Amino acid sequence: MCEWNDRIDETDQKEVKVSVIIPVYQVENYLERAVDSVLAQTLEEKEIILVDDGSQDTSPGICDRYAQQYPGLVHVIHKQNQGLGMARNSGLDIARGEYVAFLDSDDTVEPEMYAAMYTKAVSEDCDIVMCDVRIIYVEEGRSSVVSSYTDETVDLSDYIANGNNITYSVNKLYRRSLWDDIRYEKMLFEDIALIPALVTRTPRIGYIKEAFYNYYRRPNTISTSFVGEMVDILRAFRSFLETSDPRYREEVVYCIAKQLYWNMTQSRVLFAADFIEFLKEYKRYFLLSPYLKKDSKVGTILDFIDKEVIPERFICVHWHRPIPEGFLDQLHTDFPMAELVLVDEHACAAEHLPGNVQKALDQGNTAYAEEYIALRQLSEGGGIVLSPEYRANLNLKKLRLNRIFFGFEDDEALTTGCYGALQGHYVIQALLDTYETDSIHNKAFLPLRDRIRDFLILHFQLKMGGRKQLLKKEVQIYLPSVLAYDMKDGENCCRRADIPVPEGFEAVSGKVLRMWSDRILENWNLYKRELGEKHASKGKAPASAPAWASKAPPSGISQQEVDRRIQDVVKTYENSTSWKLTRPIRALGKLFRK
Amino acid sequence: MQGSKALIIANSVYQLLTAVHMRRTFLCNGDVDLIVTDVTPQLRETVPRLEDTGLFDRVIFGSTLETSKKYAGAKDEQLSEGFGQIDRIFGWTLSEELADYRAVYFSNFDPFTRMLACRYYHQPCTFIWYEDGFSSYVIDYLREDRAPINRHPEGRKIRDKVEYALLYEPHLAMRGDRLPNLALPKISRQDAQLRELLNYIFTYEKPEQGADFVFLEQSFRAEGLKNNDIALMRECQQTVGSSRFMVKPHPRNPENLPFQLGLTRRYPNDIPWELFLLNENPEDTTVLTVCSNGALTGRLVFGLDTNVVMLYRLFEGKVLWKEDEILKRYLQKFQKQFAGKKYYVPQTVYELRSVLRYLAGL
Repeated sequence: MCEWNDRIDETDQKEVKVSVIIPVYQVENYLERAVDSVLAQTLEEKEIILVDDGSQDTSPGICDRYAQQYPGLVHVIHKQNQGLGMARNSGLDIARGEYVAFLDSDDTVEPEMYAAMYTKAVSEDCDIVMCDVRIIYVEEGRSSVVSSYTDETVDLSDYIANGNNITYSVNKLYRRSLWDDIRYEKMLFEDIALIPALVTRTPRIGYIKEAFYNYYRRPNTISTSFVGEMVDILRAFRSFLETSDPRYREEVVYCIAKQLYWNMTQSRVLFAADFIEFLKEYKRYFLLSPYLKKDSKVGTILDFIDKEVIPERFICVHWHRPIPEGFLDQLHTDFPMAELVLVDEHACAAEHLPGNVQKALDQGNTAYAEEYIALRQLSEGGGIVLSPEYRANLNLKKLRLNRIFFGFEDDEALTTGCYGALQGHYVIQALLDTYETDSIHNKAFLPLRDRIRDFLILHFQLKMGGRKQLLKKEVQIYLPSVLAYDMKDGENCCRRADIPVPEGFEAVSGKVLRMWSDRILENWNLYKRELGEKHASKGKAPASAPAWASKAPPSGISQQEVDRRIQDVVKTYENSTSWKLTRPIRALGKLFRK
Repeated sequence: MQGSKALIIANSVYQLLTAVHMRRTFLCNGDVDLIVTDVTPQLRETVPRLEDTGLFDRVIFGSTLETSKKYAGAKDEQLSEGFGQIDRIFGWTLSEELADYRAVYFSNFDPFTRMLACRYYHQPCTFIWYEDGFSSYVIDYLREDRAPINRHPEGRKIRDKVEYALLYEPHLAMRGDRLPNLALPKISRQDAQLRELLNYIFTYEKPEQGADFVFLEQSFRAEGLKNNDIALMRECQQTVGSSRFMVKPHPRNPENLPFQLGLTRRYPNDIPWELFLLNENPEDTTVLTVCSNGALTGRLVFGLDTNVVMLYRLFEGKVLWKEDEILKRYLQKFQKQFAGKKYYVPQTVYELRSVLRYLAGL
């Protein structure tokens, strides 16, 4: 529901050449700067439509003040929060200008922008006119101009393939009639879903090679932080691809490929598995693209086409117990596109179960049967098994790049709270087969984690001790901090949530804490030893090695393995920001010691 | 000249048990002489009691250990010298003269037995090899590359004489020597007469104290093989608890190391394991062993299905035996085709713990 508080009737007769639509949401500190930059435009025949998208700060009041101060020029719409695209749509609904433009409420425009672009549009009968964008990196105190195209005369094919800023809504002036039948979708990346496809369908495009639009880039904005909804980018790419003029498909595919490349390698690596699934979906276009054949850098995305990724499919088996509060909410928030497979006790009625599973069930051992069902679901459809007692977070997306993964619960046990695999993975199938054998696991109804551990030790030489390891280039094993406990090192993907702790605290088992502190001490000692050896090799007196360093490696660990770990630790230290930052201090310290 | 008698040679408790059993079954008719040797020193004590039973026409004691040791790994020249004085050697080693026999039943291809084969080479005397535990299923003792004695013209004569092997489970044989394998009848635990006989021969006494879990030690230390059997014993003891665990020491090991290390109480007696199986209720006992024949005996000889945990998959040592691969295959075959429901071969130490906790009801 929305309302606008303007006296449009009075100004109906006044010609409006450009309507500038500014969606407003929680921007009390930036809004005035944005509006003032439009008011300062040299173009007289304009209107400003402020769409307050349900802001909770003082922005609505600021909007109203402008409307009061500039009647007929500034219009305000107050509406419930629905997101940027829907706010722009509301603005479009009341826009009267011959042309329309969009401005984000935390950005600004140069004074001559709309006059110059309107003149260009009219004189050349353009449906769209675009300009360059100045990106202002607020924290870093620098800016750079991103030129949209090389030439002021736009060759549309070449622009789609090789131009810049094609996806931006804000650096363009649009003939209003273009919007008669189209609107933004309610999603993130609504620009990408709509604008570039619109460009492909609009042959008359003008371009002014001036950076009229100032885009302020700050940390913690939608473009620099990660939320689960970001998978919308794939919806956006899909829309771009499918609603573009098919005559430009090769260029569109290349344009998307460049964006995919950037997203996969730089800006949204976390979502790599989602991007790979997209590549597979449109494999035919990407593999046949002549542009990608020529571009060896962007063409590397083709290497991912055959890579299998674990489907975003969560399997949660919960027999005779409700799914805890918060479990589904968190999944929906972080994995909005995920398939959820919730299996309760009714689902097993029609299932054929192996003898020992049925026997366990008959004896009331539902946990044993639950684990079997989860494993079977995993084999049938692939995905990630998530126990109701665990909470996954967005980081878990990274693990979909594995073929199969497990994690340690502590140094001696694996966790079955969260693990995943490709559909029909042979290890999962082999584990299922073990339910049909005459083994201790079946006789004693041992927990699945014991079965997995013994299987991996036997067939993949899993080494216990809680370390990360990739077994036979196939089975990835993670530290306890990844799939069982959040040690706040940024690596956690899933953690136990069945132990109540106050806000700001984490439940961590004593074994893991002990393991963790031992590991830190061990790493530090390894580093000191390596440092000592470096000094010795430079002809300096060797640093006194810690007592343990002269001992033989622990049993079961080769010297090679120890050396490899040392190198890992050294790299970790030397690549850390704190180590780099303190380098001058250490150098000074050395100087003083001399 | 063909004799009417049969001769059985027994070098171990296991062989003697089988010898008595053979005598009471398919050798019950006709005369049978028995040689018991000092290869197992305790057997000497059994001679008078064996005589008391009247089972055998004669019980001959043979001090064959030294002869067998001397010639087992000897080179050609020494072998020729030994095989050249067979009669003298028999004269020194045997308590009585040998007769002519129609058949000789033996378990080991030791130099003494090979000398017997030479002695009866030109006589219509059949040599029949009877089971000596799982090695009889696995090892081709006469393969030429095993030892010089197998290539020596006299030493290899036994190859021509031996006609077949008698095994409790002939279908498990996998030696690859093409010798026919025939069935030995199983021993019935219900055979009270046999039990009484054997108890008398071995002066069996009921053990004062037992344990739920008995680890059968093997002779690795006696053979100088470095291995992890002590670590395995410790693992077992810690999992089931020391009060429920015992190690039965191997008589050939020079010292009772598990006892000295505090891994076990002193094992109450040196009763042959087979006698324990025959007399007691082995269903209540779990046998733990790396690969001891004793653990398989219950199944092979008596057809018992009792808890047995074989630890050979967890064994760390140079090699178990020369025929390591064949042995492994045999054990696999045993597990798949013959072992009962209570036979466990844990493949990881974690699985071992799971098995033990399960069997201990923990």
